[in-house]
Amino acid sequence: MDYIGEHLLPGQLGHFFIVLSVVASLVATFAYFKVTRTASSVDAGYWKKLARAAFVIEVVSVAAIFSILFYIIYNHLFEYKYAWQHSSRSLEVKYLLSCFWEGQEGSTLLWSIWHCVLGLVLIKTSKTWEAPVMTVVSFAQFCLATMLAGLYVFGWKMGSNPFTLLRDSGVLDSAVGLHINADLTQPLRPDYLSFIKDGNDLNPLLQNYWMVIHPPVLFLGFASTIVPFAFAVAGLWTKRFSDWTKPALPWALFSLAVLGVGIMMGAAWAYESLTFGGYWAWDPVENASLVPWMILAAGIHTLLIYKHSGHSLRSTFLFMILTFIFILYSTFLTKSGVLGEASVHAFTDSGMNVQLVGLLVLFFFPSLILFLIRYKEIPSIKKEENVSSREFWMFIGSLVFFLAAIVISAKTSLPVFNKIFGTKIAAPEDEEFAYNQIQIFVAVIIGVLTAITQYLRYKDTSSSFFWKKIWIPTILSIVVATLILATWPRLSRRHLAGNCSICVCDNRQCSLYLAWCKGKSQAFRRIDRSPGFWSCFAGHPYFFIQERDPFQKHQRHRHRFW
Amino acid sequence: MKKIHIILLVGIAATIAVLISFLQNTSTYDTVATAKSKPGKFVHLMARWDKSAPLEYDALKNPNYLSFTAVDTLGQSVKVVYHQPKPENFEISERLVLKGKYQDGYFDCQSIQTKCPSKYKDDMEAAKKNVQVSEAVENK
Repeated sequence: MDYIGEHLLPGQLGHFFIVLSVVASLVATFAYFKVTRTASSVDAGYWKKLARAAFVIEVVSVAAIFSILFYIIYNHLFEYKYAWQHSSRSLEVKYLLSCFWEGQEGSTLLWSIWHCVLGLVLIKTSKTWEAPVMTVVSFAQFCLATMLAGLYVFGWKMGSNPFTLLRDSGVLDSAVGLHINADLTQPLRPDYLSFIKDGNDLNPLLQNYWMVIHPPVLFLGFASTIVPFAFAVAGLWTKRFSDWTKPALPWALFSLAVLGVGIMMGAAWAYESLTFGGYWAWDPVENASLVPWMILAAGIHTLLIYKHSGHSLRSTFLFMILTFIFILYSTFLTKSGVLGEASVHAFTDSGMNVQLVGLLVLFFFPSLILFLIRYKEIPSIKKEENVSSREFWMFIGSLVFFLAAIVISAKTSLPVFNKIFGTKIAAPEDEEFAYNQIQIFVAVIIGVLTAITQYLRYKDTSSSFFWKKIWIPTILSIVVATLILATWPRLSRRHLAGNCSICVCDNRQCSLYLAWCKGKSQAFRRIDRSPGFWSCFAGHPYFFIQERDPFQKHQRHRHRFW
Repeated sequence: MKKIHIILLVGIAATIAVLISFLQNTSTYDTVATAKSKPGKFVHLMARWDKSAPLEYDALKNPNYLSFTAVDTLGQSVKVVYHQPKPENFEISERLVLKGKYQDGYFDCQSIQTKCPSKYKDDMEAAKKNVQVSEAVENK
């Protein structure tokens, strides 16, 4: 039957490009795999050409899918479910982009787009690492592409297609007036579209400028964690256990900075739009993005330890792998609907849980098994770290940070345990307190360690050197902290722990600032030479979370820590 | 044994201790019957507002007193008292997560999380009505 007023071409084109992207990413994965495995350089050259071509086709397809979907939303083609469900005619143009990421398919697409951009940069820059690293990236692209496919494979629906027509989506099945003779057993009336006057509109909570910018930044952070992961896997795979750390470090720093900024933008949005009464509420969705950030931060520190002292290479591999695994886990948490009861802003179940678990399993087991097989071969130093060395305390800091991340993740996973074991455990009476009571101590420990460790030297530090370096910043920070506490006396009465951490953080901030001033000219030349510069930008959202309380506008909490 | 290994073990032990103590403090999702069976204990009660029973709320008299009857999926009901302003979307919610404890014959609620039918379904209803209205107009 022909329906009046439908525009079917964009959808058909869109679906064509989705299928093309599935095929192209699979070809790219296979070809890059062959490049890595082929000994003959002539053969490898051919495979590489094929792989690059396939990846470029993949990039073109993803760009086309994005453009077509935007065309549909921009022109209010409500015959497509995505436009009908997420937008309306009265929506401002800037929010038309937010419509993209309101839905699952759009956010998957956004992730895929960033992978494309990162992939192109990797092809351009990673030289001998291109083949193994791009095998991993292309495979991830293949997985994401199948999540958009909406194809039936042996009767099982794979993925959710953003170009589904409204009339095929089941939404109209019970709308009596839209069927011929108002009879539900009859097909839709040919002019049904003339009754669909407007779309569902974007959730008002998402009609906020932060929602235009926060998702792309956060997803760039999400997507970029695949690069250090891919380098780590490539290092294990090709047995070049040490070389990968050099190109991986700037990528890891970039990832940490972008993910950190993305998380903070989300907090700013929550402050304005949600009724948390604060920036951070330990909501499962927030935690899901914080945990990989923390593990990546731990991984960067062990990477720096390795670079300077040769220790901690094994833990660097593990942290880099786990960062990406926890990114996938957070995708599972937010998209599977498992958090339905526990979170205010998780997606609802879209029937893709098998695929989401599959994605997690497909990356988790191979990478971890590879790590375990190669574990013995990874070079490590037998000699113990010196207690007066920087690497010793940096490693302890990383470890504390990593364990804190595991604690947060375990607490957030209560709904998952309930699902698996059929239990009915709910969050404690005061959920925020349950997180804060532990994390405040972690914050203090991390604060103290960062303040002190930077004045230690790698390998060994003489005590005269240490005291000579540390006394000026210590006095400075005590003065500044006293001033702050004198200005806001409320702070000092209520937040004893806050006092300590502010003291310590001041120390850290002033020395970071000094380091930044010193390294400023260098910093723009080579980002990997000046992690301090980037960590300024990364902004340590962790401290931001811990210290938000004193400056909070609305005091809604019944229980305070002190 | 290296010092790092000792610290690693201490760290892992601390992590496990923290998680065990966390499990001690968790509450449970309950039905009306199970909530009644443990009075004074903090629970998450899953229920919905029983619209047939009277709702007591007078914003002028006392904006911080709301009393209504909640009924769970098993059909059992309990009186709920909530000492805060009525949540905005209370009326349209299809499900409530009530956090609080059962005591003295009623459920003393500390916070109400309203689970609203997604906007999506709402608008479908509205769309259906619109269609019916416009059809009625056409038929005339």
